[in-house]
Amino acid sequence: MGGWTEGYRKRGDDGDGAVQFREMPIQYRAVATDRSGRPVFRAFFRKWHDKARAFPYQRFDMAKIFFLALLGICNLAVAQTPSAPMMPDGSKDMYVGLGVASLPRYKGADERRTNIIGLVQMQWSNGVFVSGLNLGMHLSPTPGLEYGPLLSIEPGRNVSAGGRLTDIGEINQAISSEIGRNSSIQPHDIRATPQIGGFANYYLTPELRLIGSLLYGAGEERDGLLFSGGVQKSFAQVIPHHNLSLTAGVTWANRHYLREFFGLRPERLPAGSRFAYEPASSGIRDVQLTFNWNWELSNAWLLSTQLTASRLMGQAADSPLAERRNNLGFRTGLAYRF
Amino acid sequence: MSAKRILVLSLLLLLKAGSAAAQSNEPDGEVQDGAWMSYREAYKLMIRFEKYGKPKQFIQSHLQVVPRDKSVPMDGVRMTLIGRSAQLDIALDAAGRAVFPLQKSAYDDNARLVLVLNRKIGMYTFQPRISIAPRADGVYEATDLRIACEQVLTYLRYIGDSAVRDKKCAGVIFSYAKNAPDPVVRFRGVDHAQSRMRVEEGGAFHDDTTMTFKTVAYHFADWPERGQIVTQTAPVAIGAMLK
Repeated sequence: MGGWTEGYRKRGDDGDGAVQFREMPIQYRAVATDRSGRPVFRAFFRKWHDKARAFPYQRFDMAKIFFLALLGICNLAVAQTPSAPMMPDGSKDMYVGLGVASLPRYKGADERRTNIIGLVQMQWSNGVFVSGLNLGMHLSPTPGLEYGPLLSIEPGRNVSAGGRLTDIGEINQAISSEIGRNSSIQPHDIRATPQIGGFANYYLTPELRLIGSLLYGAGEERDGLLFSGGVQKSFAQVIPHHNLSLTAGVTWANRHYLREFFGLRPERLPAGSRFAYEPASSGIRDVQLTFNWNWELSNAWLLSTQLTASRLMGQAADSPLAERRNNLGFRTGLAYRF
Repeated sequence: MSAKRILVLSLLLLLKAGSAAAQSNEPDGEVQDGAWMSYREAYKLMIRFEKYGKPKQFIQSHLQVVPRDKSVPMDGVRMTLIGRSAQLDIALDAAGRAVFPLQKSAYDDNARLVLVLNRKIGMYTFQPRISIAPRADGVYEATDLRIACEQVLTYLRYIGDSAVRDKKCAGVIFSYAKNAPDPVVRFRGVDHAQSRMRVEEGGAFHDDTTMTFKTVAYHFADWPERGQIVTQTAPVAIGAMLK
């Protein structure tokens, strides 16, 4: 969606707003595959029940779940914002739809999952926009330059709800060997958190723009800082009603973010394990290449498809939690334009 | 049935629904798949000229229907704006240009609002077209035409038309219908001496390769800087010659 070509919002993580709902079928499937033989569904409902009792915090959590499921996501690493609105005063442009996504279970995970996702993009003539899990506002009066504040939801990471513990490659075997018994580690859950920041885009030509965003607040401690930058080339109406775009991007993260999302803290390992991992400094988290294809089926219906290749870099790639450096994400969905 | 299959089937059903919705917007059986353009997308293209802040007093903006090749006729092509409860026929001139109606109501009504051609869309494309505004008296100051050409070029660069990045204004093209009598266009110098300009066949605009007109090319380099271009009949279009 420029417009939907800029598309629904892409953000830097694997999880997304529909995570909690999407996990449910997987929970049930896990009953049959749990190697421990534990009735996982009972554990699941007990956990859900406990959460429900933790009012009022968990009431917020449920509201958040609903909100996230409603918005769906587009969680690629390069933050993108819709182009500045070109519409009559008092008008709005909205897309709402559903689709499917096949994504890594978390950033760096080998395991994938397929989910239903929501597609949302709304723009108002005053510059306010909602795109995926982002709320922002265009403030620039200058053509060719876009900037403004940005509020975003960092979807966090929800691994434990998957039911099946994910082995983290060879390190689990090493830990088991080290401590003399079977052991399995997994990335810890990270709550979804709000982030605050801003965005700026500069058009080199109408089809070529530099994009960037800065967001603060990711992670349990809410001190994660992400800077995403990239360049996006649009190919509008190459074939009538088909809009394509290609985006190359890079995401930098501060030390707090890298520790939260890629660290392996000693307290999360069996006692005496020497496999703790804590990134020591900030650095490049990953680089991405994203291909967007929007097909206008009519003036009201749009089929939006996105393919992303990403590669973890530096300390993120060195993390024991990173089972793979390279990953692919795919999503496609049908949206209605109001 | 697996969850994935259900998802895929759901998506296919949605796609079918979207396709059906697209068909329902078509006003009659003549219109083929794709013979439309979203009003909102057209609005985004056309509003740029309205918001353009640099001098533009000698130029104008249209939405143009362009055939994909020379064999495709423009005769009988019409454009209709279809709203939820009303539709509006939009006149096309001989160059396939239309004055685009910038309407809030049409924008807000996008759900059932399309631009339609009564021919196969594969034969035509839509594009914004910048040209030089005609004068009612048919007399153009040479200096004004030079400024007008620069305004066209500056605007095209502003919107990022990469085809004109390295081009310069070389003149102005007056275009007339191919089947019309040879137009009479004269250059009138400051001494009032008049010279008739040569009539050729060609495109109306610097990048037009599909429609042929009778054209009179006013090359800046071939004529004095001061003077007037006098036309006896109104041209179909006046385009900038960019080389």
